[in-house]
Amino acid sequence: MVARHRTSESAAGRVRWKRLAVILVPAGVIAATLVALTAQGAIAANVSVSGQQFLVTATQLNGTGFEQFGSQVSAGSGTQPVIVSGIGSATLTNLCQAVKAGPLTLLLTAGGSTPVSATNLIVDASSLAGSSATFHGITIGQDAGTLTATPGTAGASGGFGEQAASITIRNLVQHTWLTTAGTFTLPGLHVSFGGSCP
Amino acid sequence: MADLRRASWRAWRRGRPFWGGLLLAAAGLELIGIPLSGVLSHGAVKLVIYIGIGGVFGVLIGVLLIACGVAVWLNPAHRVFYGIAGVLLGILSFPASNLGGFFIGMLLAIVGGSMAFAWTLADQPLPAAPGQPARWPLPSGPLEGYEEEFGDELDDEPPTDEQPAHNPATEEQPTDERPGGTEPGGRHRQRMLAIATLPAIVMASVLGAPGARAATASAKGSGGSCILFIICLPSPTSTPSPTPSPSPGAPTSPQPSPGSGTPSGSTGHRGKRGSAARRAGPGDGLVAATATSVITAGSATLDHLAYQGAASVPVAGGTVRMMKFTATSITLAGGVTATVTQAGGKGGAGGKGGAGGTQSVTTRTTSPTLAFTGSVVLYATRLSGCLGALCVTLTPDTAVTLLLQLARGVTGALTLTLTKVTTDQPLVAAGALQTGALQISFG
Repeated sequence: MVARHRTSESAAGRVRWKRLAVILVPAGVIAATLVALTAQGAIAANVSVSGQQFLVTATQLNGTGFEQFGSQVSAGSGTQPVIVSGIGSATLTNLCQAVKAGPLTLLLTAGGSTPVSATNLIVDASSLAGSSATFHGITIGQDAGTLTATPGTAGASGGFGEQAASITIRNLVQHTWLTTAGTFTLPGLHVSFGGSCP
Repeated sequence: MADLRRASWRAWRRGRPFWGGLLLAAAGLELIGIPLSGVLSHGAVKLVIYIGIGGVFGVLIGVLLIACGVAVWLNPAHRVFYGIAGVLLGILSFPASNLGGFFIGMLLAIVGGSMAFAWTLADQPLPAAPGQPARWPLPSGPLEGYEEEFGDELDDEPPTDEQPAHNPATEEQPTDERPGGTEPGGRHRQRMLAIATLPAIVMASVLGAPGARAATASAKGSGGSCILFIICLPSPTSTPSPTPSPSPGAPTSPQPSPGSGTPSGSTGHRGKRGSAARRAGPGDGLVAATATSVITAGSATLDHLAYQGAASVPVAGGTVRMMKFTATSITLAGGVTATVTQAGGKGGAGGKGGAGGTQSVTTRTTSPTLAFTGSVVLYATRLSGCLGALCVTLTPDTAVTLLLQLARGVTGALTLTLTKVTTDQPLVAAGALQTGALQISFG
């Protein structure tokens, strides 16, 4: 073999587009299938978002194993008071979540005809509102450290807490700092950029 | 000098699937960023506790994607494997990590992985040329399979000679690849393996996380072991490094809340104290909050109200003497406001927000009506209200006498309506609560 001087250009590699398609197309098909299955609610997704305030609305929230207490999260140099709500299992109708991703607002809606369901939903909200709320088996004013409705979640000892066996909130509007759920099924998932929740 | 550096940077960039690796790494960063941005930007490690095992799994995918991206750069010989792994991780991230980082990370990973997979040296020798060893050792069968399949595309690449930058002597070459160029039987076997492996990977990716492990395991058969060094050991090696504080804390102690990391160590004593209190308590296991709380309402309608005497209600660190009332229903109306003030750093009782210090936080809950029904039990340290023109303030010490006075005015009445009601330190248990338009906020 003859050692030949090469410029960097001639040594350059490149992407072969046919080969790219060989893997990109099936991957895209699988991803699209997953998205479709998730949108049908057949596959549960895992959601955990933190560090920014975003808006969550739902026309109706039904939950079992509800608890709520005040707490704080660190935000920048100071702390931000939050209302922590934990729901063991929840269904949300017409869920809408607006997340600011840089300059874009990502709008995620789901649960139109079949409600969204979530397990071990924990939301840290800076404000919470509903047009009406119904609780069953409720205790208000309990030590937040002794809350047991959502296992694994409790407030500080001495804090003010409340818990209920079941809860229904209509026209829920929450500004949240942190949302996490063990599983989320998102039937009728629709993601778009821009706009805002109703 | 600068030109030289730029030229060598360009040569480095062009000598490997640079953009594919960059996209893979970017996808990983994006996937990590969503659950952990609160942690990264605020230093709020406590947030991770909430994120839990699912979030950690999502973070793990992000870390592996970054590893894939870096590995594609550092070891372009194995780009095919890293590319496929990146694509699979990207697909997996959809159910596992915030819908694939709200699609962005998933798309970056799929495109980046595909680009890494599809990258070849422009002067790649034909694999069919006998006696000419491949300069980039092809790590796995799939590539050769596709070369066969798209041979027309490769045919226009003339076989070329050595390139100093990529000396085969310095390249780690998987031993089972060596006969690939010369021995037709071996290549055929590899091709078969490749054909068998790809659908398995595809199937496995659909089946989720356990499937991904299966995919890497099956891919191991077709590639050298060094390829899989990073990929095969993801869980034990990668988990602790990206999430040093969450992973020990999150699964083992889900209990602490952001507020519970107090200097006084109230969390540690809570369980003991709580159980002790329950034994001494009013029998229903309730522990009252010590945070200052007041409910005010324009009016309160009390059905079948009965005073049960003063009771010692357990609180964190002791008991408090409270009045105990029972009623079949209590309806509060007229601008009901519940105000809770939780003081920061007030001994073990407030216990809010460790570093937050002494500022107190007031939570205000408002609703036009609060209707408690179904064997309501109300404890309070102080209750004031007016029955007509007669305004009284009940405390555990004065309740009996004052209630007797009240009772004289409402003889026989089963339903009592008080106005201008204020209840201190309320602890209410009820079968059901129906509120009007509810608003909970701070300040």
